[in-house]
Amino acid sequence: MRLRSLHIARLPGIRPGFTLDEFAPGVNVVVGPNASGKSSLVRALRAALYRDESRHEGVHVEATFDDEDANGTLAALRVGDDLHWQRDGSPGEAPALPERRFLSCYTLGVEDLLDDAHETDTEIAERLARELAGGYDLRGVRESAPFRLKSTHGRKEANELAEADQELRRRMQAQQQLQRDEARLDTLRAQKAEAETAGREADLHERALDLLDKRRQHRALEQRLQEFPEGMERLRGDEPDTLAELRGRLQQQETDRREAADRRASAEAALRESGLADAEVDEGTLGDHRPALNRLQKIETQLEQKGSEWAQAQATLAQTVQALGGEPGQTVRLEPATIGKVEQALEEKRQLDAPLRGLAHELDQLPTGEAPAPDPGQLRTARGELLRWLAAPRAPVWTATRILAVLATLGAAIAGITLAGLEVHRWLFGLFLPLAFGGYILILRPAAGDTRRREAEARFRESGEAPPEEWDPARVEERLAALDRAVVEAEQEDRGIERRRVVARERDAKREVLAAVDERLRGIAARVGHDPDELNASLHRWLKLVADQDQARRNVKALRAEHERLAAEAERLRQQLLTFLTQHGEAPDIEQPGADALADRIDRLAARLRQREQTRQDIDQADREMRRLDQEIETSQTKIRGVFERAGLAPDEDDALRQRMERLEEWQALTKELTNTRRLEIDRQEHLSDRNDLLQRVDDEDENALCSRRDTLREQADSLEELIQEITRITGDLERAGHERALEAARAQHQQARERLNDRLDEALYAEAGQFLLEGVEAEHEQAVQPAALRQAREWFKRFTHYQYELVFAADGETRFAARETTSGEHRRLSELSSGTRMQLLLAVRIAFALSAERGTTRLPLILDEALTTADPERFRAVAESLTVLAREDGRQVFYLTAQPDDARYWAEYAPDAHCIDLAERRGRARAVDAAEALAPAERAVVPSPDGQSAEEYAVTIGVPPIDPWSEVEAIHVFYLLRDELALVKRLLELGVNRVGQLETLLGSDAVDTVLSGEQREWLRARVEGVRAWIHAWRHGRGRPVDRAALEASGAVSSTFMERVVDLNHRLGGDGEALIERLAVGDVARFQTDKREELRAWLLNHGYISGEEALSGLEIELRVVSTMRPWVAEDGDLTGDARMLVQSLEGGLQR
Amino acid sequence: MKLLCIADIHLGRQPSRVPSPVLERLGGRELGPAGAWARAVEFAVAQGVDAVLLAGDVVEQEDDFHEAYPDLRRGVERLTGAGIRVLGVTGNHDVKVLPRLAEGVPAFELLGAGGIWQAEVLAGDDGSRVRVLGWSFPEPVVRVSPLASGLPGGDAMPTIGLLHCDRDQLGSSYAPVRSSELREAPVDGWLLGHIHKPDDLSGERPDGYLGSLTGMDPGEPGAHGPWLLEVAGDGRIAMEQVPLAPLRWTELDVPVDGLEAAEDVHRLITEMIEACHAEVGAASHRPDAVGCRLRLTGRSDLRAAIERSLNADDPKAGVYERDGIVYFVHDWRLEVLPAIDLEAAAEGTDPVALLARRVMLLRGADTDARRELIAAARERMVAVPRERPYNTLGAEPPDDERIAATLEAAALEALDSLLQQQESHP
Repeated sequence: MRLRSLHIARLPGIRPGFTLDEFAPGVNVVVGPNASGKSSLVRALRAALYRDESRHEGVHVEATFDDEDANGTLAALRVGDDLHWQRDGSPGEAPALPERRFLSCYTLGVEDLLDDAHETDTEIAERLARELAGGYDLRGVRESAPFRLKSTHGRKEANELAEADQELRRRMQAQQQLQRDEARLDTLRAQKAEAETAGREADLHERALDLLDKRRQHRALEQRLQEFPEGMERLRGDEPDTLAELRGRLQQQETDRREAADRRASAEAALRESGLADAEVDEGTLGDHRPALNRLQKIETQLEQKGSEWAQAQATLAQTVQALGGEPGQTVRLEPATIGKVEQALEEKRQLDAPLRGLAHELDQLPTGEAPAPDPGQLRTARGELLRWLAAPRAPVWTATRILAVLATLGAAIAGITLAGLEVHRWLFGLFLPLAFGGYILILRPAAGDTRRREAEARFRESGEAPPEEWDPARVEERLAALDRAVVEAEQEDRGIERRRVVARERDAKREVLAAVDERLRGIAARVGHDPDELNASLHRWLKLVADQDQARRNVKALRAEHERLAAEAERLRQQLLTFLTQHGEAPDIEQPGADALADRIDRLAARLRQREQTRQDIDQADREMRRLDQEIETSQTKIRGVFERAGLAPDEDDALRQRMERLEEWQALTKELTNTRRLEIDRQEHLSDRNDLLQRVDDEDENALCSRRDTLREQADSLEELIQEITRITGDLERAGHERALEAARAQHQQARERLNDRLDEALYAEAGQFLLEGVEAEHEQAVQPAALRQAREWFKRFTHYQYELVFAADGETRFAARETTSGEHRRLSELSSGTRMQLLLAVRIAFALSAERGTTRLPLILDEALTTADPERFRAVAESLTVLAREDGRQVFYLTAQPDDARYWAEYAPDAHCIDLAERRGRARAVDAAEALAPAERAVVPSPDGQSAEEYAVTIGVPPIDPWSEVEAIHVFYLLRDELALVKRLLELGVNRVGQLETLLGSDAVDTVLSGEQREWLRARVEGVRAWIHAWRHGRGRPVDRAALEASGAVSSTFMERVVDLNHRLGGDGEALIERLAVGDVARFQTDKREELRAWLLNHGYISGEEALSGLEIELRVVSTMRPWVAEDGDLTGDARMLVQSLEGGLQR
Repeated sequence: MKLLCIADIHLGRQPSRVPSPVLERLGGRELGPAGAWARAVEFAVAQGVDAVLLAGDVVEQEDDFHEAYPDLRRGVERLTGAGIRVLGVTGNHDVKVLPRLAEGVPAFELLGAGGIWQAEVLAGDDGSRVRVLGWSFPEPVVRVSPLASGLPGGDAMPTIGLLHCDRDQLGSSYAPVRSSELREAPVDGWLLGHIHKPDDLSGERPDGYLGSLTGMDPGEPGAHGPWLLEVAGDGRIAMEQVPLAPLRWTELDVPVDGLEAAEDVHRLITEMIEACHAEVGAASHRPDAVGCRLRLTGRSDLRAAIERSLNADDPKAGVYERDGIVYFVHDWRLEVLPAIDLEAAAEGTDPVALLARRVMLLRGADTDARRELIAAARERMVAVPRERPYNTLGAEPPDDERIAATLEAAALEALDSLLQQQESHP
């Protein structure tokens, strides 16, 4: 279905409407500046095709199509939300259009193509994935264990192996070192023995020199000692100190002697002054009188106490007499009869007292007076009158109602009687009288009660009581109640008065009896001499008072007798003590001295006795001290004399002694040194007793010879310690090696590490085998069932990118579409592609899918809205060409909308049949393309022709890079494969194919048939395989070039050596083997052997040094031939072809 | 006359692939060459042999004078002290150690020092005599046949050749000799060292490798130990292997056909070990430990479940002790086929069919298609050992046989995975 015309009557954003027609059946380029309505064309067309587009926007669009399938026309009229179709001018059914959700596959905007997460792409991918899956998750199997290994797989084990390798090397080196050490042992032991001998000999020479030295010292000392006075040897050195000490001590002793004599004289004077010098009294005698004194002191205390008690007893006796009512000094007489009488009388009083108190109390409660007021009788009379007043009858009250009722009744009665009498019986008049009397009684009779009340009132007044306030019943009843209360009170008072009189009489009678009893008691009191009131109080108390008095009297008597006895005893003791004190002049100067005064005197006498004893002791002590000091003075004087005598001097030759003492220290030092020197001399000589040669040299005093020999020997002996240490270390290492077996352990560790890595290698091989199988199965299956859309999209994409990329589709995963760079083989996700390449990829996918999805439906035009804006000219051309082919071969109508006049020029170049529509012009606006030149074809890069040039010259012309044998095969320029086919090189370059990777892609694409002949394809494939075989063969036995990064990664080159090693490596062109060799011969000074070995191991392990021989040219050629053989026809000159290829490639090697 | 013949002791090595619990229990040295050597020495003393012959490679490292050498010397001194002559030739591993031993222990007799054939006559108590011809490696690498230099002439008495060499490996660096040379030599038997797998020397004319004294890794399965050579009075020679090795390696097939539950595979394994023990335990000389490699074979639709069960309860983690012999599993391989008709499955066009076709191809005859498949895989697989981090091994690229085996195993597992998908998403 091709669009013939489009009329936009109404569309939001478009005013006024416009019509476009005469579209070409193929490519239409619509050029118009921004906002000229290009995008509105797309909207209008979508609205004309699908009812659900632009709903509720009030659009009015008409579109006319050529229906090539039905060979007719179709018209779509979209007004508002209604869409009507006409076929050949008549209303008809809508054509079978592709699903609306894939509409974006037909209308491709730049925004859609830059959005790599567009929902359409996702849906396309999902549909493709479903078709490709075949019901199995092959990728799932491929991506899971054991076929997918982690990127770190085996690294740990490799590191462990490297460590184990290093450890084993270390151990082996240690082992070798141990062997070298062991080989040195005998030599070291011999050297040790020599050093020991030399050491001993050096010691002997040392002693000889020492002996010589001592002899010389000996002689010098003796000379100096001869200069001292004789007798120096007698001095001890402490003579001055001894003398000073002895003299000081003597002086002190003499002073002490004098002081002792003075103390004796003082003591004798004190003895005399005591007055007891000759007395016989002593402490014992004094002690004999102490008990008497104590007794006296005790008796005096008792006397004082008894005197006090006596006075107290006398006072008590006086109080008892006074308590009984007697006079002081009076004696109370009591008999049992008297006491009985008193007791009886008192009992009688007690019996009377209680009733008397009760009667008195009752009298206090009773009313006084003779008669009650008012009189109860009067009150009762008044009360009776009031009652009578109240009892008198009272006339009823005449109310109006009552009167009317009575009158009516009476009237009725009278009327009745009258009628009855007149009509019936006359006798009935007789009833009238009693009735009239009754009426009188009821109504008219005067009140008899009033009289009685008046009489009662009069009598009441007579009673003298106060009348009611009013004489009405209420007031009268109130007064009656008050009178009732007054009557009761008056009657009670009357009864109290009567009782008072009775009680008073009874009290009086009992008082008389009591008075008689008191009289009797007073008589008894008078008789016994006591206060009758006391008798009257209580018999018991009285009896107690009497007993107290008797007891007090007895106490007074006993205390007086005791006091008198004690006074006599005290007097006797006092006299005894006074007699003793008087004998020793200590009698008190008062009369009747008390015990305290006597004690004071006795104490004074005792003090005098103690003073006499102390004085006597002082005299004895002074005598003893004077005798001791006399002896000590004699001793000191003897010692002083002895000091001088020992020094060989006369006593008191102090000056001579001082002079000798001043030189004594020097003399002693010299003497001591001489002694030592002698001893050492003998010692040295004894040590050399069997070495006459040395003694002879000493005797000859040949010091120089001895020193020289000693130094030589000492130097030889100095290495002994070092030798011993070295021997000990070696023997220790040997012993440890036997025990520890570190080498065996390192070897075992190494073996284990190898095995572990080997296991990982097995796993990697297994995984690789699995990947290989599954990839093959996947590719085979995919190839077999690959959806046409995907196949088409791949083809489109390859064309669009000039075979630089291949479309990669992942049946699962987050990113379904990706691209593989043919030169490197690397996969790139959409996000990693340039925007141009990404747009090309999505363009290819959508177009291909649109073509595929529309099967069975009407084919729609493709509309690209500035979809190639970001493409470079070459890619633009590729897409344009593809779309042109599509338009031509598929009969597809294509619209390209652009604001860039250059785009129109490009289209004019790539698709000369393209129909250019100036939208601005159609809409009556400014032209977008202002001149024919604007549509002139753009300049294209022209690939130079090889004509007239040698292959090498042509390579220079087209800029062929040299071959880096360590980079990917795909990056090698096609020139090296086609050195003999330069025209084909040019043709490929024009197609944009310049690398082996692109060539491989081209060879695998459907388009290859249009570019290359079948024969060309075959030998090109053979050469591509040959290149691969060559590069593998070339690398065999060669290490990859060493660079700085490798040297740093090895860890064997420290920063100290890095620059020098890098420089050397640079000079050697990165040849790892040569580098190691140069390091071994010392090109880098001080680079250690172990580091060199470490570097070599690393380079070997990482492919920088090959452990194998490089292949010869012939071997390489054979391998290439072998590889190319399956691709070349039997009759071809395979060997020559392969040789040419190998030579071409080797000629292109980077130098 | 009785001679005890020993080769390839490789003192200084420890056995590999022995799990830690076994090593801790039995000791690495005791299970390795040192233990085997000690056993052989005591056996020789106990048997009262007339001489012990050493066919080279007695130590792992030619200059291991401080760890392996003391072991060697101790054993030799024990033998010579017991009146047993000890003769030996150097191999490529011990060109330094044995000469030193000859210096240190004069009773030890190094034959053919410097690469010059030497003959020594041994006389038994019974009057029997035998001549021993020996040649020693003068240096670790010898690229020419020792027999090219000519042997001493023949003698009437029985003659035994004692040699360390690489038989029928012409490019070898370790004294390559041809079988024909050996056959044509004027000797009554060759006792060879270098190849660790023992030949059958029990024939009338013993001629072959003695094998390593003990298997040092799973690659040396079967019985190992010294050989007892007896020379009869009439000059006839008879040899018998004495399986003294303390450690033995073996491979056990565990067929899982008819297995009803995957977990039962452990029972099968135990049964196989029991069966193995019935044979090993009944031998006159029993090893201390037996390392087993399990091959799970047969056809089962429980393949994946069996694998899961083995991974969950790994037999490698267990140690089985039977009558004092410790059995351990150092490896297991699942070679079980899915229980499907491969031919029928291969007729389809889906991935399962494509994989089934490859399995059949790999298991089938050596056709062009099979070779092509292997060649295509080789392109990729030979690169793997060269890649990091495996390149540090310096491993040889896999040969076609290994490639085919690996492909087949991987194809089976992939096929099984796809079938599992089919089961879970019918």
